[in-house]
Amino acid sequence: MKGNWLTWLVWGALGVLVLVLAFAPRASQAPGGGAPGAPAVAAATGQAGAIIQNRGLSPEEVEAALRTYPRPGKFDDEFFAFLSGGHAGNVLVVGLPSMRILKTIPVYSADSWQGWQTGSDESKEIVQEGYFFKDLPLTWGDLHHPKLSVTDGEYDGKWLLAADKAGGRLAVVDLRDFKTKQIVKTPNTASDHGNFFTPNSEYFVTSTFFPAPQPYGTYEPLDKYEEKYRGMITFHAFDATAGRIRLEDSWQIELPPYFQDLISAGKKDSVGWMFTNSLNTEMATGGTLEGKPAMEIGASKNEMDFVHVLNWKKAEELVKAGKTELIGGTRVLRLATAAAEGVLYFIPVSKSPHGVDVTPDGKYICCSGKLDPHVTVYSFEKIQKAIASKDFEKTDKFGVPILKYDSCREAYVELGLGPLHTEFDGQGYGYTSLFLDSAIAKWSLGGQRTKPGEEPWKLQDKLSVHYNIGHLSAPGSDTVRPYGKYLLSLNKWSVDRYPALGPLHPQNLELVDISGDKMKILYELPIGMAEPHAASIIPAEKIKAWKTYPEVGFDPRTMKKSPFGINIGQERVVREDEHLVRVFMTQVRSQFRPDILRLKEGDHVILHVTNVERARDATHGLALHGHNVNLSIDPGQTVTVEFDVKHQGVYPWYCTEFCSALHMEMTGWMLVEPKEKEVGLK
Amino acid sequence: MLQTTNPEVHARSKGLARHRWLLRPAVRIGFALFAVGLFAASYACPVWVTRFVAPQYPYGLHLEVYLDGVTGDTGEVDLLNHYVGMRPMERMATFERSIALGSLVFVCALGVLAAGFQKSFWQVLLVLPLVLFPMGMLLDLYAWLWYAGHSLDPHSALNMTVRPFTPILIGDQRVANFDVSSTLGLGTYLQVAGALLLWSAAMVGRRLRRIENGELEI
Repeated sequence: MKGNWLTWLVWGALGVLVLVLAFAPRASQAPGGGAPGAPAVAAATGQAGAIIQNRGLSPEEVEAALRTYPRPGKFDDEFFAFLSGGHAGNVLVVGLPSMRILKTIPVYSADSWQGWQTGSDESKEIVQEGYFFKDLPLTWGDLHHPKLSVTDGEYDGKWLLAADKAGGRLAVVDLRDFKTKQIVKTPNTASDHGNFFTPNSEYFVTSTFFPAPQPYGTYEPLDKYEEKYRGMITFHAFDATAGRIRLEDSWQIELPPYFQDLISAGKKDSVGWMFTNSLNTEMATGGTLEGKPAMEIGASKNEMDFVHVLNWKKAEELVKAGKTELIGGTRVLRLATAAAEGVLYFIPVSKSPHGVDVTPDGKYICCSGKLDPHVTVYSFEKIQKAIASKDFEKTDKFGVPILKYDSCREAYVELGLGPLHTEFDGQGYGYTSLFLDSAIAKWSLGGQRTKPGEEPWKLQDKLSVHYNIGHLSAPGSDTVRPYGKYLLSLNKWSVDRYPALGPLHPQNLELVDISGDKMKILYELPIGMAEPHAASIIPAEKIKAWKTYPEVGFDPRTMKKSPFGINIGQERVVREDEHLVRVFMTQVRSQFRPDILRLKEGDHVILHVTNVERARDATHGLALHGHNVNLSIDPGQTVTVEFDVKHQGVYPWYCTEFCSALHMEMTGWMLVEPKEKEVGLK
Repeated sequence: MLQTTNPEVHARSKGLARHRWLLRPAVRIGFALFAVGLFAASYACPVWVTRFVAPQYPYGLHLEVYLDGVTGDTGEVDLLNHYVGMRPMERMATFERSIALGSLVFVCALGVLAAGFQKSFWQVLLVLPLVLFPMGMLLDLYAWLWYAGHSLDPHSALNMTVRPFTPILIGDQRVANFDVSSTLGLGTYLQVAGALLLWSAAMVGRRLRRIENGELEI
C-alpha cells in the first residue's frame, strides 16, 4: 500500500499526541496513608492495653475517652455549644463531644485578638449604642443566657442573642461571621436577665430581675419600693431577616416588684403564653447596716413565691389597640391593665425558685423552689381550666389573680437539695440541676411520654457533678425539637478537680452522656477565661458560617461592601483639610500599602484598612505603637480607625497575625513631624 | 469503475461499495460539523489544569488555563508567585490570548470547508491546521512555562530557595513547599478528538476515492 509522505507525517504526529494523552497522568491523588492493616490494629490494641493498665483506666473511662477523642484532622463533633462567658462579657463556642473550645465571640467586653473595642470604629459604634450614659463608656458586660434564633420553634442557626445582666443590654451575634452586630440598651431596665425567642423569632423577650423606679434613671427612696418600683418584661421586636432589634417597635409589660428572674416560652399547645419565676414576694430591700435583714434573709421568709403566667398574644393585641402608656419612650402595658385584661396570672410555687422551664411539647411547666427538694410540675391544660373557671385563690395586692396551686399542679417530684433548672432530652425525661447536692437528677415525665413499666413523675437516676452546678444544657431543650444524647453541666466551683494555679479557680464544664438509662460523665473541661453561665447547644450541621467575606472591602456591620473598601491599586493618602488626613490602605501577604504615613503634630487620622486577601484564614492585624490602635482584619474585611496624633515622633506599626514567611517584614512607619513653627526655630 | 474478475476481490469490492454513502455531501458535511463542533467546544473548557497542594493549603489551589484566559485561584497563585519573583499571569501570553478566539473560529471554518471539497489534496490542506492547532497550543504553553520559570526576579524573597525552573506541563513536580500536579484539560482532548475525526474522515474518503478510481488495489 502506497501513501504520500504528508499522510504519514500527520498520522505519526497524531499517534504521538494520542500516546501523550493516554499517558498523561490524571490529577494526582494526595499520597494517602490508607487504612492501617490488620497487624497495625493488633499492635495498637496491644499498646492501648498497656496504657489502660498503666493509667489504671476503668472500662467506663476508656469508653468515655474513645467517645470524646478528637481525631487529628477529622472534625466529627456533633454539636456546637454556645456558652455565655458571664462577666467576661463574651460567648465561647465549644464542640461536643470533644469539648474543645473552638472560638470566643467578644460581645460586651474588649478582645484585642479580634480587635474588638481596641480601636476600630465599627466595634466602638456598636458598643456605644448600648451605653446607658452616652458619655460613659461601658467596657464590659455580664453575659448570661445566650439564645439561638428559631423558625417554627426549631433552631435555624442564624442569630444568637444574649442579654447583659449588669447593663440591661441586649446583643445580636450573626452566625455567618460569628461577630457582634448590634448592642441595644433595653428601655426602663436596670438589668436584662432571662430571655427567649418567640416561635418564629418575632420577639426576643427579656425579664429585668431588678425592679426599679420608672422610667429607669429617676430616683425613688426604697421605702417607696412597693409603690414605685416595678419589674418589666420586654418584647424586643426582632427583624429575623436583617438580624436587628427594632426598639421603636418593642414594648413592655409592667410587673410587680417581685424580681422576675428567668422566663420560658410556651410551645406548641401553649404558644402565645410565657412563664417566669419570681422571688421576693416579701418585697424586702436589704439594709444590712440599717438594722434590717440582708436580702437573702428578707426575701426568703414567705413559704411561697409566684410563677407568673402571661398571655403575651393577648398583651400584643392590647398593645396594638393602644392600651399602653409611653414610659421612657417605650409603649408599656401597665400592671393594672395586664391584671384586669387577663394577661397576667400568678401560681404559687415553693419559695425562692430560680428558673422555669416548659417541656418541648408545651404541656408542662417545671419550676422548683431552690429551698424545697421537689420540682413542681404545672399542667398548661389545668392552668387554662383554672383561668376559664376563675378558680382563683385570691387577688394579689397589685390586682393580679392568683390561681389555686392545687388546681394547676400536675406533679410534685422529689429530686434532691437545691433544685434549679430543668432541661429535656425529647425522650420523656427531665434533668434538673441540684445546686446543694452538686448533682443532676434525671426524672420521668408523665403524660404520653411514660415508658411502659416506668412510673411517671419519678426520680430515675442521679449523678454527682463537680461542684455547685448552676445551669445545665441539653441540645435543643428550649425548642420543640430536643436532640438529646448529651448534657452539659455548668459547675460554678472546681475546688480540687485541678491543681491550684493561684486562688482564682477555673469553672468546670462536665459533659454527661444521657443516651442510656444511667447518666455518665464523659469529659471535664476547665474554663479559665470566663464564667460560663448557661449554654445553647445546636447540631453542628445547622451552622452555615462563612469561610471568608464574600467580596473585598466588606463591612461586617452592614454585611455589604463598605464605601471605604478598596482593592490593590486604589490606595491613597488624602489630606482633606489642614488637620484631617484620610488614608485608604490595603494589606496583603506581606505588605501594607502605603507603608509610610507622613503626618504632622495635631493631625486627625481616619484610616480605612482593607485586607484584600481571598485565601481562607489569611487574617492580618495592624498594631500601632503608642496610640491604642490594634485592629484585626479578616480576608476581605475593611476596618476603620480614627485617632489624633498629638505628639511628634516615629511610630512603627506591624501585622499582628503571623501571616507568611515574611510576616516579620510586614511593617510600616508613621512619621509625625513637629509643628512647622518648631521646625522654623531649628 | 471497479473492474474485477477475481470473485473474492469482487465480493470485497461490493462490500466497499456498501460504504459509498460515506461520500455523500450531506454525510460529509454533517460529520465535519460534528467533529468541528467538538473542536470548537474546547473554547469553553480548560486546555490545561494544574493543582498545588501544600501543608497550609490542604484543599489545594488550582488553575484552569483556557484558550484565552486563566481561572481558579489566580489571585492566590500570583500572590505566592511574587515571593519567587514570577511575573503575574495577566502579563503572560497576552498576544496568544488576544488571537485565540479568532484563530479557533478560523481553523473551525477551514474544517467545515474541507467537507465541501472532493479532492483529497484540499481536504488534507484544510484539515491540517486543526491537527496542528493543539500541538501549537501545547508548544506555546510549554514555552511560556519555561519563560515564566526562567525569568524570575533575581532579587525576589525566595531567590535562595527557588532557582529558575520550568513548571511541569504534564506530571508531578515539587516547588518549594508545593506539590504541583498538572494535566491536560478537556479542551485539549476535545481539540484532538475533533482533529482526529476530521483527519480520519479525510483519509477514509481518500481511500474510497482511490479504490474507486482504480489507483488502489484491494
